[in-house]
Amino acid sequence: MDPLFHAAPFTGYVYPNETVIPWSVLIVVYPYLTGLVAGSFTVSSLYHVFGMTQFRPVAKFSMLLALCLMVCVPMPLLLHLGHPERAFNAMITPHLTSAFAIFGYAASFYTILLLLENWLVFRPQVVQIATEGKGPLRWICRIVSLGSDDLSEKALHYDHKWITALAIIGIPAALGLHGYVGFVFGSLKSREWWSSDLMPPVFLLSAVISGTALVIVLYVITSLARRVPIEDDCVRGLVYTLWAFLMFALLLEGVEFASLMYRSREGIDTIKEYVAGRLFFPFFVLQLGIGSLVPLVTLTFLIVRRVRGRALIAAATGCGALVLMAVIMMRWNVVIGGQEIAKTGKGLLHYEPEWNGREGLLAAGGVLCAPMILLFLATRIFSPWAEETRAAWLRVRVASRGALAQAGGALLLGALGAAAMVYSPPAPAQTAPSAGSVAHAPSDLSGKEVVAGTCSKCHASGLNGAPRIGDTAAWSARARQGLEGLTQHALQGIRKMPPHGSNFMLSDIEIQRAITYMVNQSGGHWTEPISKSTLPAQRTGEQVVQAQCHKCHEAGVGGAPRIGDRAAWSPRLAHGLDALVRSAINGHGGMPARGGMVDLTDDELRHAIIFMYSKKNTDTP
Amino acid sequence: MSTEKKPDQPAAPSRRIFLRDISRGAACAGAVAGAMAAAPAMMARAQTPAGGAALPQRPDNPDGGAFPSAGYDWNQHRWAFAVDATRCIGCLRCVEACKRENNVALDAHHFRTWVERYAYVDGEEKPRVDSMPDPVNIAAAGSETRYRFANRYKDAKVDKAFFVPKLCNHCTHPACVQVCPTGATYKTRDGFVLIDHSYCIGCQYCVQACPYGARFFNHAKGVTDKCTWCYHRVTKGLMPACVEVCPVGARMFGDLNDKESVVSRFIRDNRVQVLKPETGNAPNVYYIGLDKEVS
Repeated sequence: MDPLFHAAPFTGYVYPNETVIPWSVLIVVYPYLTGLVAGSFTVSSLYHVFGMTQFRPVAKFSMLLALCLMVCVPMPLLLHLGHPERAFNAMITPHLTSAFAIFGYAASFYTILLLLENWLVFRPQVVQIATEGKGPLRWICRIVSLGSDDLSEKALHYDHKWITALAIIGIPAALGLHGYVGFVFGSLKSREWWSSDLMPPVFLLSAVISGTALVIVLYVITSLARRVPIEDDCVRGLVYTLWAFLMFALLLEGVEFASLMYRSREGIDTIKEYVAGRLFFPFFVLQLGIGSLVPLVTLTFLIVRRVRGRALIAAATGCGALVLMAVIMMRWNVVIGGQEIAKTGKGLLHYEPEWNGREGLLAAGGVLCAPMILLFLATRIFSPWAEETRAAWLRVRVASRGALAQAGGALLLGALGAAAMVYSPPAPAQTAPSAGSVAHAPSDLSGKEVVAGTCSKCHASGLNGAPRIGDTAAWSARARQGLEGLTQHALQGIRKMPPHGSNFMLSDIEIQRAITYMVNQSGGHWTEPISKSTLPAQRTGEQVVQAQCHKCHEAGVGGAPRIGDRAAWSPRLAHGLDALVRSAINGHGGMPARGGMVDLTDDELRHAIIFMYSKKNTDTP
Repeated sequence: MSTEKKPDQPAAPSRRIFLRDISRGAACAGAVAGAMAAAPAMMARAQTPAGGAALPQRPDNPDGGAFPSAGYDWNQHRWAFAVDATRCIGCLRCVEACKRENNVALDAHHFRTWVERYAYVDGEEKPRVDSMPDPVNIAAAGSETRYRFANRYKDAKVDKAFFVPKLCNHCTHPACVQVCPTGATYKTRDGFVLIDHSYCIGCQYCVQACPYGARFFNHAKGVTDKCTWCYHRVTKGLMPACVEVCPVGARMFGDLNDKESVVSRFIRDNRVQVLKPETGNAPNVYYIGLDKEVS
């Protein structure tokens, strides 16, 4: 049997009762989990409330993540309590002067809010399973759908309104819940290390960075496991978010520490001894150095140099893992650090976490894994991925069961907080999905297909005042708003048009393609956007030439230098390849900008030129 | 080394053993007194302040009367504790008596009351402070179930040395009560801070909030625990166990409503101090003979 308690070794003078550290590693995990909830909910709200469409791929996912984390938040507290069966005493007879008494209500309120929000977001899927599925899952979904199987445009529009409204309420609720956790520590006057007015904001900001970091890491891991492309714009958006909040978090932490040192109240000598000694590695090296400054510098580099593609994803994931480590170290340094500095101001204690037992490291690890396991199970039933229909998701699921199992393992490792240490950068694994599979993601519909399946219901006939396909006047007036403007309207709904045209399975890109298709059918000359996710799969010079350049350069239309005609190409290369690429980007004479292929990257253009210059002209030997 | 004569502890070994036995006797007496009312575990289950002046009848009370004891009216008293630190000899009979009276775990890490030793050694700026959990003191006692101060300064040139008994301050504005999420710990009308062990959830927030380190976790019961000033004894007209056994009268207990009680006179006759007044807790253990380094 485990001993009832562990006495902590100490130096200097500590009160005798202090030798048993009251709050264990579980109380480190507790604020870590609530922080992750607040952070992931914030990311989700960036899409649901602020309409930042680049977060669409992770919007539903982070909502589900927040719920899975939230239901696990009481676990560390219940494990810690001497009488968990009495936990409800705090809600039955709340002692209103206690910061803890509010927790039960705040957490319950927020859990209900998250449940509602997730119910609304996943309602179409629940209804689908309830009507088309089979087995016990169908019955569960029937109950979960609460008898509502209405998926009409009107109903979905109504859902959408509620999703936004709940997300708006959820932001202060999520941040308030975590700011209050900071208050639990900051309001105690018995410990100089905790007693700070800055504690709530420090907790709040570190919550947002930890949640954002977790979303980055999980987004990358799950995308790799599902063999789907990772959207650059989404990762970039997360990188911006992480950078901004990380900077504030670091500044506030610095100000708090500086003011503690500057005030230099009684017992400061002991605190200085502690900070320079036992706390140095976890605080300065792990939390502030490797965990905060390194990611901050890396993220700044990513932003300033506009890094894209694989490098961006690898670096962002690394930063995410480091930040996750930094935040759990921050919780440790606050919770355990505060208790290691004795209340006497004359001594230091040495908390040694045990492995086994109710408050041991294994229990804490289990609590950290629990939400990840929940999340894994939840994604087996619902698809939180933006770009897939449920049917497609089921196909992928069956196909990549093994990969998902691996992902599950990876998630658990990540959850252990040891992510930073054991995490291997995803770059090598990323080579796995071939370019072919990327281009043909299950539901990568063309504009024509989307229009036929969804838009034509109104736009073919002009129902409800929709501009009819082929009505040049109506469409050219709209085309002036540009693709971005029209896409915004289609995503959010306009006049009688429901958001997303009522088809929430459509990705932004698919909607853009549909708009482009309709504009082109009505006298426009737009180019259908290719999926941003295929960008990393670069086309070769030869592919580009065959797709576009050859139209003019094969025969020399309009004075274009012919492919392989070195004599014609050489003078154009007199100012160097870079100058030629620039001129091809801008267009000149008969040559349209980017050769009229708007989605051509600079690099692809360069390779196309090299290909055309160096190819042996087989026609004229 | 335990048998050597100590400069800061004039008691001879034989006398020490005698005192120890006496303390056992005192503990037994206390236990008998306790048994008259109920098991000590039930002592803390005093009625809540919401109960008002009319004390509830408890059928399980052997007294057959009101709990905690018949004829005791908590509106009539305002108890306080006084310590004359200049008198304390560090014999630790108070600690042993308290452990036995209140069934506190017999180890060096859980105390309802303890004694601190401050020693200014020649040439050192800060005093050396030690207490029960110090490994040297545990070694001197022979086991963690006995308590004594080791004669560790016998070869040092000590400029000044003294003992400071510590216990719960039963503050007027207790930080522990403020943070308790359930109201299981509360302030009584007669000036005690008590814990309802049947209602405490064991979150230990109060342990964190107490600036004096007076609270600890009772691992066997899964609840927090601390000094009650022996509420079960006081309400029957007895003194707290530690006051009872103190051989030098360093510990005093009395009613502030009684102008002639020992504590009222102590506060009136001396310029008293309390510990950590800056916390705003307004402690109710009054000291004389403290030093700037005592915290």
